[in-house]
Amino acid sequence: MNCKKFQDIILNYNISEIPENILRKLKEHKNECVDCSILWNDEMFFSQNYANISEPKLNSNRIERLHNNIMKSVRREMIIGKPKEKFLFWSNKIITPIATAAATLVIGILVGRFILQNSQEMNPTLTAYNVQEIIDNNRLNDIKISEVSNATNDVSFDLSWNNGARIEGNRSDPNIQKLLAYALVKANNSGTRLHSAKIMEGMSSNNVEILNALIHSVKYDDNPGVRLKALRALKNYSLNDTIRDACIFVLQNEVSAAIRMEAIQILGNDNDQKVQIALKKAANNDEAEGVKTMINKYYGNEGIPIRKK
Amino acid sequence: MEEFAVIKRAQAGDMIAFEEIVRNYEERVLMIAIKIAKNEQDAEDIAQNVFITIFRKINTFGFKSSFYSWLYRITMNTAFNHIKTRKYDDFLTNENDDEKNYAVSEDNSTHILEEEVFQRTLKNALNELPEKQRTVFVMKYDQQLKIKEIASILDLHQGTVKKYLFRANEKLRKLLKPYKEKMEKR
Repeated sequence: MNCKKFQDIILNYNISEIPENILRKLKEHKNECVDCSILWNDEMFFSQNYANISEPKLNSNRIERLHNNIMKSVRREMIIGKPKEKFLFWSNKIITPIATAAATLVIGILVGRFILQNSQEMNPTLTAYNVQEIIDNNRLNDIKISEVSNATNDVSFDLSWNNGARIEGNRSDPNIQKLLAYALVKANNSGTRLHSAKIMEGMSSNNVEILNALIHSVKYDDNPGVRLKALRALKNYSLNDTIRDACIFVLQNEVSAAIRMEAIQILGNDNDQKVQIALKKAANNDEAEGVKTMINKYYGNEGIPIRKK
Repeated sequence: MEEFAVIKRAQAGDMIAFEEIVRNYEERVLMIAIKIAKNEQDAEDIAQNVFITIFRKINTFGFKSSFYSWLYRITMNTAFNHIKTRKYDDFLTNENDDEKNYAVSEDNSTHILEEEVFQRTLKNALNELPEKQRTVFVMKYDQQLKIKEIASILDLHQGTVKKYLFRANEKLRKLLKPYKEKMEKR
């Protein structure tokens, strides 16, 4: 059984529904794979304990108030529905386009003036203390990388915090590194996450937050470009157990063959036994020929590393 | 059979029948919304919007599934859209309370009390999750839905649902670590 199949079964069926023979295979796999064993433990823990949470108590006054509000809204909906159609019948052709154009113009002028008046107040520069504090307390709604200078290694971030804020600094600054790590994991925009991974790819840092962010992205980011860049950035770190586990995870779960091949390159000809088992498995079962060929470049048929000449 | 007749009447524009549907389901809808929204006002807004949507769309209900599964799908969609568009002002609140609630209580000697404390802690930890993650988590463990069912209801890719669930699990694992260790020791 591979990790993908394990996940599909665990996430789509209750453990009590699973036939004995499949359950046995799941348990065998769980004992061999760290990530799947975590998933198994979570599944057992949450399904047992969530069921024990008591339902919220609702008092009858609250239900009655809600009922009245619902019916009031529904009746309003009934009244608004009909005349609106009648109005739209003749207004669609003449009034609506004129009104829309006029409204757009007025709103445009007002917004333009507002932006001009407030542009300086909108982007206060934050102090390092602020950054630490707002990240630690989950106060940031979103983050964007607005400028990157390859010449000076400076980065500017736009933060969605209160009315918005901007912070600039050098990538060697620990606070900037903290923001980069945050952006890689939390930014809503995949472009920002990609940017962040690219910056990390070009820097050598011992920052643990950055390493954790890279590992997280390699495993869970939606965007394959981000996963690939994050994986490449891991090459800056010397191979350790955390990176090994992440690469094995990629090898077993990643959809893109190119990313799996990147993981094999990171593992190089590592002697670790876990790695050798995973690679041997992939050499036999991987769907992509390129992956198999690459494994054979570093490892022999017995899964033993071949020394580079 | 009775429900079939009530829905048919509501589809024909009978407001009394529609009100009967509201009465039958409002509590269940509110209960689901409370589990997903972070505060009571949001939960009530979601419940209200669910029934407005049902009022608008009741004619499209073709009795191909049970009325409750149709309503549940609308509820989850409404909740999910609500949290997508809402501003996350509440990140700014209740920080100290949370810290207090996550601390493992050493004073409570009886298991019953520990169980209650654990339940409260789990609830608080769930409130700490971003709402999309919480929605998926609640659908998985409260409603016991499969990943593909959640993906279909929320109109998301299965991979995205898995991602939300993994992130939720990861975060809860961290928040509940002291309790988990204590329970495993027993």
